[in-house]
Amino acid sequence: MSKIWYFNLLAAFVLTAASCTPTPHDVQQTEDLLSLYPDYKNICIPCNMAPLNFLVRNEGVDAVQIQVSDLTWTNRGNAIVWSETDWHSLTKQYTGDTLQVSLTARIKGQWQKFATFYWYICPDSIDRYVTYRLIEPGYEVWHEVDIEERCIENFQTRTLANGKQLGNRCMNCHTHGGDKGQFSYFYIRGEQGGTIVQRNGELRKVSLSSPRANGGSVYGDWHPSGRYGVFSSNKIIPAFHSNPAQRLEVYDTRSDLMVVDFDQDTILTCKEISQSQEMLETFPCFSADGTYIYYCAAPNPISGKEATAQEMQTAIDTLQYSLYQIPFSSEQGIIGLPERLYTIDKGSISFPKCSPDGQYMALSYSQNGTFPIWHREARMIILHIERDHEGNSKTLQPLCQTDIHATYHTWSHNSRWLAFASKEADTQYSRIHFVHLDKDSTGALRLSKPIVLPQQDPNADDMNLRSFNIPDLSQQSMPYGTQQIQNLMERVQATPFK
Amino acid sequence: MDKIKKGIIALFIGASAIYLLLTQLYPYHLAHKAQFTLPGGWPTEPWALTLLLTLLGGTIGGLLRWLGLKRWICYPITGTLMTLCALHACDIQGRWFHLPNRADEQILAIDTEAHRNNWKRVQELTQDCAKSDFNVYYHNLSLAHQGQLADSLLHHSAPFEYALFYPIDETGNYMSISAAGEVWWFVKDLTMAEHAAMLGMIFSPHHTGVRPLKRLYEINMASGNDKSAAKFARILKAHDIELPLAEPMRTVRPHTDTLRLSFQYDLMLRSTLERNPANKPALEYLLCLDLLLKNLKDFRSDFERYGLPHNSRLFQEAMLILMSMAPELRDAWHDYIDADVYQEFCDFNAAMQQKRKSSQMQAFRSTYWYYFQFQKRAE
Repeated sequence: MSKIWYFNLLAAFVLTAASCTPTPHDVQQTEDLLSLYPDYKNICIPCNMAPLNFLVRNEGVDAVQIQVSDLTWTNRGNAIVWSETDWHSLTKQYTGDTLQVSLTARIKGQWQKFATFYWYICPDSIDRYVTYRLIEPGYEVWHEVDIEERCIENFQTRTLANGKQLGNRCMNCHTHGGDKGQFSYFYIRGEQGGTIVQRNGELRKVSLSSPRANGGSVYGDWHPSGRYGVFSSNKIIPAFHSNPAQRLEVYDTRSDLMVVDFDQDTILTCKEISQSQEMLETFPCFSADGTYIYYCAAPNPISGKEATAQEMQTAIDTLQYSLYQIPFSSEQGIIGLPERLYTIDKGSISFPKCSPDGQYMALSYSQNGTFPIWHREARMIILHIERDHEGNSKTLQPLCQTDIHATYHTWSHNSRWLAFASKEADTQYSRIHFVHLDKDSTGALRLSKPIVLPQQDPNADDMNLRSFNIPDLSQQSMPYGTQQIQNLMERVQATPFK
Repeated sequence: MDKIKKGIIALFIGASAIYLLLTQLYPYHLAHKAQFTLPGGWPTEPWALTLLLTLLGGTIGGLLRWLGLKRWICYPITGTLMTLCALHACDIQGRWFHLPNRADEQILAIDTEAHRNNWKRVQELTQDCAKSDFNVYYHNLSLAHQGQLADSLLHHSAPFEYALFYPIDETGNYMSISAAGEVWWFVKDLTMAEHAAMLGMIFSPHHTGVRPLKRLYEINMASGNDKSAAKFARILKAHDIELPLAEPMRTVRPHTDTLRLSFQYDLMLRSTLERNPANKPALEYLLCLDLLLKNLKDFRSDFERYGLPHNSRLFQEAMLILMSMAPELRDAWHDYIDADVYQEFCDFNAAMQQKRKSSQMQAFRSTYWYYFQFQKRAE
C-alpha cells in the first residue's frame, strides 16, 4: 500500500513539474525579425473577431510569452492560443484603441524580446458568419468538396453541404444576398443536381439550365430585393502552363449571362449579353440599388474556330476583360444597351462586387484571363462609383488596392470590411483574409493590412490540404444543414425555369 | 503471474508470426499503404502492428477467459480476430479486410519498386508487357531510366502514345494517377508532375501520404517555389519525416510559357525542352512519341531543332524512311546510318515489294518499318 502511495506522489510531482510554464528571465532585446504565422503584426482587428491564435515561426523557439495591455500569457512551444473569454474581454474593453503587443520568446535557452507591434481594435464589426467552399486544389477534378459556415466571432464551424453525403459532386460557390444574408444559393452538379435556393428560410431546388443561356449557371449575384438573380453560364477549359510557377490557366470558350426571376420561375436573356459567341460575358453582379448589372466582358479571341496551340497561347495572353454595365429594371427586366465602364491598362478585370452602401466597387485584376485565383499577380482594387445627378453610375475612380494576392472578395453588411481568398502564404492553398476600408489622416481611402481568418489550432492552416475557396459574408447563420440538403437532393425534383 | 507472462509471450509470438506471414503474403500492400498515410494514422510500421495485435489479442483473450470460456474456444477466436485485424491493416482501400490477391500484389510491386527507384526490378516485374497498358508504361519508363528506351521500344507491345504516357482521366484511381506522374517527374515537366502528384494525393484513401507530400516538396523545390515547398516541408517535419534531397532545377533558356491541354503530350515535351534543350530524357520521349504516332514530319523538325539523345537504331530506322521520301536529306543524314541498318532496310523494302502480309514479315517485327507499315490503333 505505501509503495502505491509513494508511486502516486512521485507521479503527481513529475506531472506538476512538467506542466509548469517557464517564466522569462535574463531577457535580452533582439533586433531579429519576428516571424509570425499568420502575420498578425500591426493590424486592424474587428471588435467581434475570434481570438487571434498564431505561431512564432522563428527557428528554435520552445517557449513564448505575450503581453497585451494587462493580459500576459506564457506557453511552452511556439503557439499563442488565447482563452476566448480573455480575448473577448480584451477586445470589448479596448474597442477603438490601439494596443501595444510585446512578445518574448525562448530561443535555444535564451529569452529574447522582440520589437513591439500594435493591434488596433476596430469599432466597425464584421459580419458574424463566413461561408466558403473547402476544396482540394485538384485543377480539373475534385474529390471531396464541402460548403462550410464558420462563425467569425468564435471557432464554431458547421457543414452546410457535405460532399460525401452528396455523392462527391462538385458544388459551386455559396452566395448570400440581402442586407442580412437572408437569401442564398449554391449549385450542385451532376445527376439530381440543381441550384439550391434559400429565400427567407425556404429551400428550393431549381434548374437554371437553358439552351439559350449556354447551359447551367456558374457565377452569380442576388438582386437586393431577393426576387432576381443574375448568373453567368460558362464553357470552361483548363490548360496547363509550362512555367511551373503559373501552374494552371482556366478560360472560357463561351460565356453568357442570364437573369432569373425566382417569383415567376423564368429565365430572362437578351442578345446584348447572351446568345453571342463574339463576346465573353461573365462575373455578373447587381448594383447596390439593383438598377444596374455590372459584368466583365471581352471579345472572344477564338470564337468557334479551331485554334492551334500557338494561336491559343496568344489568345489567352491577350485576353483582357473590361467592366461593363447594363441598366436593369425590376418591372421591365434588362433595358438599355451595355456600356463599357472601366478598363485596366494591360490588365484583365474579374469579379466585380458592389458595396452594400452603393459607394464602392471591389474587383480583382490580373495580367490576363478570367481565373485570378491561379494568377499570383492578381490584386483586389477598390473603386469609387461616381454618379451623375440622376444617380446613374458614370465613372469609377480607383482608390486603393491590396499588395498581396487577392481574389473572390465579398463585402460585409456595413461596407467597411471585405473578405477575400488568397494563396499568398504558400501559392497553393487559399486562405480567407479580411481587410478594413477606412480613411487615413489626409482623407484618402486605404485598406488595412490583410489578416487571416484565425483558427483554434494555429497549426491547422499548415496541416490543412484543402483550400478555403470563395468566402461569402453574412450576418445570419443559414437556416439549413447537411440533412436538409441531402433530402432535397435525393427526394425533390428540380423545378425547371422557363 | 507465470500464466500471464506466458500468455503475453505466447501472444507476442503469435502476433509476430501473423505479421511475418503477412509480410510474406503482402509485402507490397504494407509498403504501399505506408506511402499513402502519415505516421500517427493506422499503424503499418512493423513494430506498431505487432504491438497492436499483441494488445488486441491479450484484451480479447483475457475478456473471453474472464467470461469463463474454455481455452480451446478462446484461442481460435482470439487468433481469428487478430488475423482479421491484420488483414484490415493490409487493405489499401478502406475495406474490412483484404485476402491475398496476386494480381494486386503485382501491381503494387511495380508501383512500389518504381517509387524506390529500383528500375531494374521494375523492368523484371513488367517483362510481360502484353498484360496491360500499366505494365507497358512502367516497362518503358524503367528502360528510359536506364537509357534504353529507344533501343527497346518496339521489342514489346507499343500501343501508340499509351506506351509512354498513362492518362489521367475519370477512369483512373489514385494509384494510376500517381503512376502517371512518374514520367513527368522523369522528364522534368514540373507542372504536369505536380498535377499528377496533387491528384494522386487527393484521390488516395486518406487524401494525404508521405509519398505525394515528398514528391510535391521535391517538385516545388525544383521549380523554385519556396513558399509551397516550405508548406509541404512543415507537414513532413511535423511527422518526423526526413525531407528528400532537392534543389532548384536548372533552366538554360529564359522561359517562354506555353499553354497545354492535358492530352497534348508532344506540346508538353517540346515546352520542357525549350526550358532546357539538354534534357535528354525529355528529348528521347519526344522523338519516341513522334515515331509511335507515325508523325515523321514532327520527328524531323524535332530532330533538327534538338538533335538526338543518342544514335539509337530506332531513330536510324525512322531517318531511313524520311530519307527515302526526301532525297535532299540523304547527304545530310548519311553519317547517322549504320551499314547493317541500311542493309536491313533494303531487305525490308524488297520483302514489301513482294506484297507480303504482316504475318510473313515477322523477321522485321521489332523494326520501326514494320510498326510504321502495319501497326493500327485498336477499334
